[in-house]
Amino acid sequence: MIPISWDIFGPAIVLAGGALVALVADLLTTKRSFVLSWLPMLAASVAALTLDVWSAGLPFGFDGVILIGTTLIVLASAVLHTENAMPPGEFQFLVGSAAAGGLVIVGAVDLVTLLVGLELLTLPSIALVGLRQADRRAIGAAWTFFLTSVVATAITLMGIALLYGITGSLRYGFMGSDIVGSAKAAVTVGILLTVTGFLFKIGTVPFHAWVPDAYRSASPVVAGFLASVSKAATLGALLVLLYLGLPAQHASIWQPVVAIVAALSMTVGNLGALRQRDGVAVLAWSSIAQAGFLLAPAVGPDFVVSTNAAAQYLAVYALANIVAFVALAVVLKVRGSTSYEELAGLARTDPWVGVPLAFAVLTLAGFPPAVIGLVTKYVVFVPVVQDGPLWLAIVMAVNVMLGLAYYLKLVATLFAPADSTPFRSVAGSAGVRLAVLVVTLGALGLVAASVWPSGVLDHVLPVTIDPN
Amino acid sequence: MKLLKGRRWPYVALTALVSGAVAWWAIPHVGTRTRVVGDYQGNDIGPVLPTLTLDALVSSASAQVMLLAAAVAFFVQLYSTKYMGDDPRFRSYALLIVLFLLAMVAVVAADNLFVLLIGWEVMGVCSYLLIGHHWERDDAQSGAAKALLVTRAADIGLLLAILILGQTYGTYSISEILVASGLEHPRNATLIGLLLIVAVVGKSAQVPLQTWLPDAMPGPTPITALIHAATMVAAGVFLLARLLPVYATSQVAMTTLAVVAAVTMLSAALFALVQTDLKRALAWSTVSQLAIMFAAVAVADGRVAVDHLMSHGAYKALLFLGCGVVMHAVGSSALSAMGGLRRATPVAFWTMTVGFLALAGIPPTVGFFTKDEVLEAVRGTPALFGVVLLTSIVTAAYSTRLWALTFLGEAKEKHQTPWVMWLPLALLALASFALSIGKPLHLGIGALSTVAAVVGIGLGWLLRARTFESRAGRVLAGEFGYDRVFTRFIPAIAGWKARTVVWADDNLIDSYPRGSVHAATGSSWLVDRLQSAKAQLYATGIAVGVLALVTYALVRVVVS
Amino acid sequence: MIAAALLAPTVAALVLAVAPRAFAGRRAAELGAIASLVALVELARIPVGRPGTLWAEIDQPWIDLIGARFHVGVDEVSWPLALLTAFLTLCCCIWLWRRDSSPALVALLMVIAAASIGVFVAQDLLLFFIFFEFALIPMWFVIARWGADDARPAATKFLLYTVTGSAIMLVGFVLVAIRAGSLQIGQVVEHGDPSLTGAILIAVGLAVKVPLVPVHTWLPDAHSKAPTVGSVLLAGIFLKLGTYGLIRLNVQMLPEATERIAPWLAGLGVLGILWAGLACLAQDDLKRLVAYSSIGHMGFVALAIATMSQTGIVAAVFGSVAHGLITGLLFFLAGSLKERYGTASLAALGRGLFGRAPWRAVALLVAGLATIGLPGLAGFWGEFLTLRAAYEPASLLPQTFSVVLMVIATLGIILATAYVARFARMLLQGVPTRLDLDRDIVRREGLVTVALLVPILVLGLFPGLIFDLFPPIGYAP
Repeated sequence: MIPISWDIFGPAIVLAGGALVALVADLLTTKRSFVLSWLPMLAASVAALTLDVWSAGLPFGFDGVILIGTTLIVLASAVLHTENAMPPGEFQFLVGSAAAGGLVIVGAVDLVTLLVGLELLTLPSIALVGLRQADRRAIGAAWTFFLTSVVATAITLMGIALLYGITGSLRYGFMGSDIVGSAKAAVTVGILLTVTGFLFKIGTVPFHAWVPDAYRSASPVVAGFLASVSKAATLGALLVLLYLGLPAQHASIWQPVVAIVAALSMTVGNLGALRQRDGVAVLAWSSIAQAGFLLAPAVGPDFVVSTNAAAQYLAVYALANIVAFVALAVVLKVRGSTSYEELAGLARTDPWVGVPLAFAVLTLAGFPPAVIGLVTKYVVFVPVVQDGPLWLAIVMAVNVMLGLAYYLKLVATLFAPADSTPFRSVAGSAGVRLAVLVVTLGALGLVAASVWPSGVLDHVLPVTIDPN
Repeated sequence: MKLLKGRRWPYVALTALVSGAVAWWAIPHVGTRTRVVGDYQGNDIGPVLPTLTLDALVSSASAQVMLLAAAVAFFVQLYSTKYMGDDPRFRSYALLIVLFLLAMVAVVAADNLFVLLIGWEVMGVCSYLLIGHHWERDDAQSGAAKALLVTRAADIGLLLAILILGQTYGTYSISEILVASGLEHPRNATLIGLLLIVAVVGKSAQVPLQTWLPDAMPGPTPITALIHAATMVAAGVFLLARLLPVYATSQVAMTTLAVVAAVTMLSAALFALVQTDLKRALAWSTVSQLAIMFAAVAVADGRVAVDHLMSHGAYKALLFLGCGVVMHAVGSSALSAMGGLRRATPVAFWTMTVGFLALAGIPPTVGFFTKDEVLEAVRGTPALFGVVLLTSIVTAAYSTRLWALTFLGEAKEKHQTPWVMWLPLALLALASFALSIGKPLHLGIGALSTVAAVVGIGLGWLLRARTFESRAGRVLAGEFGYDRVFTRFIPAIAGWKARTVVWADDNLIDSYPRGSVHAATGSSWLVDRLQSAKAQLYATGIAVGVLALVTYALVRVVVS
Repeated sequence: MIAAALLAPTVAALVLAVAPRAFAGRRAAELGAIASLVALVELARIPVGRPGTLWAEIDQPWIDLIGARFHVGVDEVSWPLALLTAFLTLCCCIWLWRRDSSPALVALLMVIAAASIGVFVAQDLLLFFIFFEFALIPMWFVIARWGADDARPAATKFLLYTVTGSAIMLVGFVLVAIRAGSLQIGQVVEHGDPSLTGAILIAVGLAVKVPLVPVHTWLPDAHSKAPTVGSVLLAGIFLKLGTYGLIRLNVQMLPEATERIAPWLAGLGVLGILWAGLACLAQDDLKRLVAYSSIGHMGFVALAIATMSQTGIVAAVFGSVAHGLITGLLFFLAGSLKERYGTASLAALGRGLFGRAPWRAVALLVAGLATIGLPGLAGFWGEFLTLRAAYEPASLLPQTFSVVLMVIATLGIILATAYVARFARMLLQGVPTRLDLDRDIVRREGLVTVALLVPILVLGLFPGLIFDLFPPIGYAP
C-alpha cells in the first residue's frame, strides 16, 4: 500500500498549522520566548505523528521517518533556547513547513504536487541554514545553498516540462509507456533532468557540494534535520517517482545512472570525510557517503524489495544521525566547538552524551556493537547483489572499509584517555537536559534495535505485499 | 631440588635404575629368533588416524642395541660424575642423558612408527642440547645448530617414509607392515627406501650430510662417546636393518645405499688419517665405521650390520671415554699437545690400545670378527668389497698414527684417574674382547683382512710423524672443502632469500596498501580543495554533472 | 550451555564497563578469569555428539524479515576451537593478574572472547558475520591503546585490511544467501552449490584473516605492536576465525565451488609457508618473528583445507588448535620479555638467557621446539596430517601438484628449525650479557606457561582427544 492522499496530507496540514501557530505566537509577544513557539510545534509534531499512525497504521514508511524525525528534532531544539541569535518563532515555523513539504512529496502522485512539495521542503531548509543572525558564514552557506538549489530546481523543472511535452500527462503511471524511436532519447533526457533536483537534495555526488558547507555553518540541530527528515522525504519521493511514476521498462534508463551516482557518492563522501577533524564536518561528509548507500538499492528491479531496503536503511540512518547531530549540538553549546580536541574523551567525561554519540557513529559505520547498522547494511546489499552490477557491491564493500577509517577515528577520539578539561555542564539548563534526553532515548532505540533488529525492520515497510 | 643441587650420585642412581630396567627388559630377548607373524593383509585405503601405542617389537637386535645404550649411558653417567664434576649445569646434563636413553629405547623397541619418530627426534634434540652444553662457546653454538638443522632436514625423510608406509600398507605398525610386505611384492619400495636413506644419511652423518658430526665435538666428551659414537648415530643402521624387507627389493635404493656407504667410508677414513685433533679424528672414524655397517645393509644383511654396530659401539665408546681421560690430563684434544701419555695415564693407554686394536681389526678383538663378517657379506659385490678392504687398511693406518701420537714420545708427568673414570674404560675394554665370543670366523677373509690391517699399521707407523703439507694432504685436511656448502653457500642463499622476502614485503606487497592510503589521502585533499564555498563553482559542477550523466544515459540508450 | 558461554564474558564486559572503579587491577583480571572459566566449563560440558551433527543446538527466530535466525551449535570442527578461545582468554586474564591492569582492557578481552566464541558457534551467515565483526573494534583498541607507543598505525592497518576482507565476504554471503534462499549454513549445503563467485568472495575475505600471502602484511605489524594479551588473542584466536571460516563456509558449505579455487588456496598456503619461513630468518624483533612464523603455520592449515579431504579437515582443526596453544605460549614469553626490557629486539635483549633467566629460557626453548613440529608435542600432528592429506587430496587438486606442494611444504619445516635455532643461538645461548632488569619468570607467568605447556604435551601424546571427535578415516584392522 502506498501512502497517498489524506493519509499523508492530514499530518502535513497538522504540521503546517503547528508551524503557523508557532510563528504567530512568537510574533504576538514582544519578549523573546522560546517555549512559546516550541510548545505548539512540539504538540503539532506529536499530533501529526499520532494522526499518521492512527490513519495509516503500522508499519510506517517514509512518512513515519519524517514525523518521528521532526518530533525528535523539535524536542531537541530546546538546546537552542538560550541562543539569542536564533529567532525561535521562525525556527519552529521553518522546521514545521519543511516537514510538511516533505510529507507532501512522499505522498505526491503527480509531478506538479511533487515540485510544489519539493520547494516547500527546500526553501525553509535554506532559510534554516542561514537563520542564525549575523553569522556571516551561515548566511554565505545559505546563499550558496540557495543559488545551487535554484539551478537544480530549474533543471528539474526543465525535465518535468520535457516529460510533459512528450507524454502530455503529469500523473504518475500515465507517462509514456509506449515511446519509440527518437522520443526515447528525449524521455531519457527528461527523466535524468527531473531526478537531478532530488539527487541534489539527497546530497549525492556530483550535486553534493552544498552539503558540507550548509551542515557546518548551520546549527547542528538544523544539520540533523537536513540529514534525517529532509533526506528521508526526498529519497522517498524519488523512489516512488522512479518506480511508480515512470513505466517499468524505463528502469534501464535510470538504473545505470543511479548505480554510478551511488558509487560516486559513497566514495567521494568517504574520501572527503577522511581529512576532517570536526564532528559536524565528518558527519556532513559521511551523510554524502550514506546517500550513496541509500540510493544503491534502487538498482534492483523490484519496487517492493528496493524501497523496503532503502527505507529500513534510512530509518536507522536517520535515527543515528539525529542522535549524533543533537549530541554535537549539546557539545557545541557547552564547549563552543565540535572539533576533535573538544570531543576527546567525551565518552569518559560525559558518558550520557559521548557514549550515545559513539554508538550512533558505529551505527553509521555498520559495526557491532551497533548490530542494527550492520543488519541494515546487509539489507541494502541484498538488492544490489541480487540484480545490480557486482562492481557496485564491491565498491560498497570497499566503502564500508573506507568509512570505518574515519568513523573509528571519531570513536577513538571519544574514548581517548581523559586528559582534556572536564565537561562543563550548564547548570540547570533544562534545554540541554532535554536535548541529552533525546540523545539518550535515540541511542536506547538504537541499542534496542541492535538487540532485537526485527523490532525496527518489521515496522519500517513502506510497501507491504498482500499475502493473498 | 635443594637436595639434588651439587650432588652427582642421585643422577647416577636414576640412570642406573633406568638402565637396569631397560637391561632387565632386553636380556631375555637377546639371541631369540623372532619372526614377525600375523594375519595382517594390508589395505589400500590408508590407515586410521594415528595414535601412539606402547606396543613393543623387540627383536634380538633391538635387545642388543638397548643393552648397548643402557650400558654406555650408565658408564657415561658414572664417568661424568668426575669428568663433569665441577660443571654448574650438571643437572640438565644428567637429565638429558636419561631422556636420551629413553628416546633411544623408543626407537629400537617401538612397534608404532610414531613412537619411533618421537624417539628419533627427541634424540636429535638431546644431541642438539648436549652439543650446545657449553653454550657460551661459539663452536658449541654453531656445532649444535648445525647438528639440529642437518639432522632435522634429513628427518623429513623419515617423516615422509612413515607417511608413505602408512598409505602403502594401511597401518603405522612396524610388525603389521613387515607381515604385509612379506605377503606380496613390497610396493613403493624404491620411494620408501630412498626416503629412509635420506633419514639415516642425516642421522648417521653419511655423505652428503656428513659434516655435522665432526663439528659436534665441542660437546662434552662423554656425550660424544654415548650419542655421537655408540648409540644415536648408529640408530640409523638399526632402522634400516629393521625395515629391510620393505625396501630390499628395490635395486635403486640398495645401490644408492651402497654408493653412499662406499664414498663415505673411504673419504671419512682418509680425513681421519690427516686430522690434527684426536677427537675430530675419532669422529671421522665413527663416520667411516658407520658407513661400513651401511655397506652390510646395502647387501641386505641386517644382522651383520647390527653386529658391527654393537662392536663399534663398545670400542668407540671406549676410545672416546679414553680420549676424555687424556684430555683431562693435557687439557686439550689437539694431537700436538699430546704424546708421551703412556705412563701419565696408564689406564687410558692400556684400554685405548685395546680400542685401537679393535678399530684396526686385529684378532682377537671384536672389531676383527665383525669387520670380517661385513667383508664376508659384501663379497658378492666386488667393488664394495674392495672399498671396504681399502678402508680397513686406512683405518689401521690412522689408528696406529693416533695411538702413536697420543701415547708415544717423551713422557709426561703422571695424572690421577679416579675409579669412576677408569672403571668404565676397563669394562668396555673387556667387552671389546668378550663380545668376540661365539662370533663366526671366516678363515680366508680373516687372513686377508689381517694382512690388510698389518699393512695399514705399517703405513700408519710411517705416517705418524708426517704433517700433511703436500697439496693432496691439504685438500684432505680441508675435507675437500665440502663443508663450505653448509657454512657458506646455504646460509648465504638462505640469508639472501630471507632479505629479499622481507624487502618484498616492505616494498612490493605493502606498496599496494600504502599506495591506496596515499591515493585516498590525496583524493581526500582534492575533494576538500574543491569545497571552495563558491556558488558559481558548485553550479558549474551541477551543470557538468547533469551533462555527463545525461550523455552517459543517452549513449547507453543509443547503443542498446 | 552455548548461551552461557556467550553470556558470561559479555556480562563481565558490561560490569567492567559500567563499574570500572570497583574492579581495578587484579579484581578486573579475577572477574575476567572467572567469566572465561565459566565459558570454558560451559563449553566443556557440551556432550560430544555424532560427527556432522550439531551439538547443543539453539535455533530461535531472530530477524524474520531477512530470514536470519539465532542459530548456534557446535560440532567436531568448532568445538575444539571454541574451547581454545575460552582457554586462551583465561590465560590472558591470569597474565593480567597484576596491580596495574586496566579494567577496560579486560572488558575488551571479554568482548573479543565472546565474539570469537560466537563465530565458532554461529550457524547462520548473518550471525556469523556479526560476531566476526564484533571483535574487530575492541581489538583495534587493545592494540592502539595498550600496545607499543607507535602501535596505532599498525592497529589501523590491521583493522582496515580485515574490514576490507570481511566486507567482500559480506557480498559473498549475500550472494550465497540469495541463491540458496537461506542464511542457514546447513540449508545452503542442502541447496547444492549456489555460487562460484560467492565462494571466491568469501574465500578472499577469509584469506585476509588467515592470512595468506600476499594479503598478510598487516599481521607482523599488528602482532609485534600489540600488547602481550593482544598478540596472544590475535594469533591464537583471530587467525583461527579465518581458517575456521574456510572450513565451515567454503569446504563444507560450498564444496563444489571451493573445489575450483582449492588449487589457489593450496598454492598460496604453501607460498606462505616458504615466505614466512624465510622472512623469519631475517627478523630481529622476536615478536615479529613469532608473527611471521604464524603465517607459515597457517599456510599448512590452508594447504590442509585445500585438500578438502577428511584428513585435511582433521589436520586443519588440529593444526589450528596446536598453533593457538604454541604460538600463544610464544607470544606470552616474547611479550614478557618486551614488558620487562621494553623491547623484543634480539640485538637489544642480549645473549645467554640460559644463564640470566634459566626458566624463561627453557620455556622459550620448549615453545620453540613445539613450533617446529617436534613429534610428541601438539604441533606435530597438524603438520603430519597436512602432508598426508596433500599426498592424497580429495579435491580437484591434481595429485602431482599436490605432492609437489607437499614436498615444498616440508622445506618450511626445515626453515622453521633454522629460525628457531637462530633465535636460540642469538638469545638463549652465548656469553650472558647481564642486564639490570634480568629476572626469571614470575609466578603468574610461570602459571600461564605451565597451563599452556600441559595441553601442548597432552595433545602431542594423545592426539586422539581431537581425532576421535571426527568420523573414522581409513581402514581399521
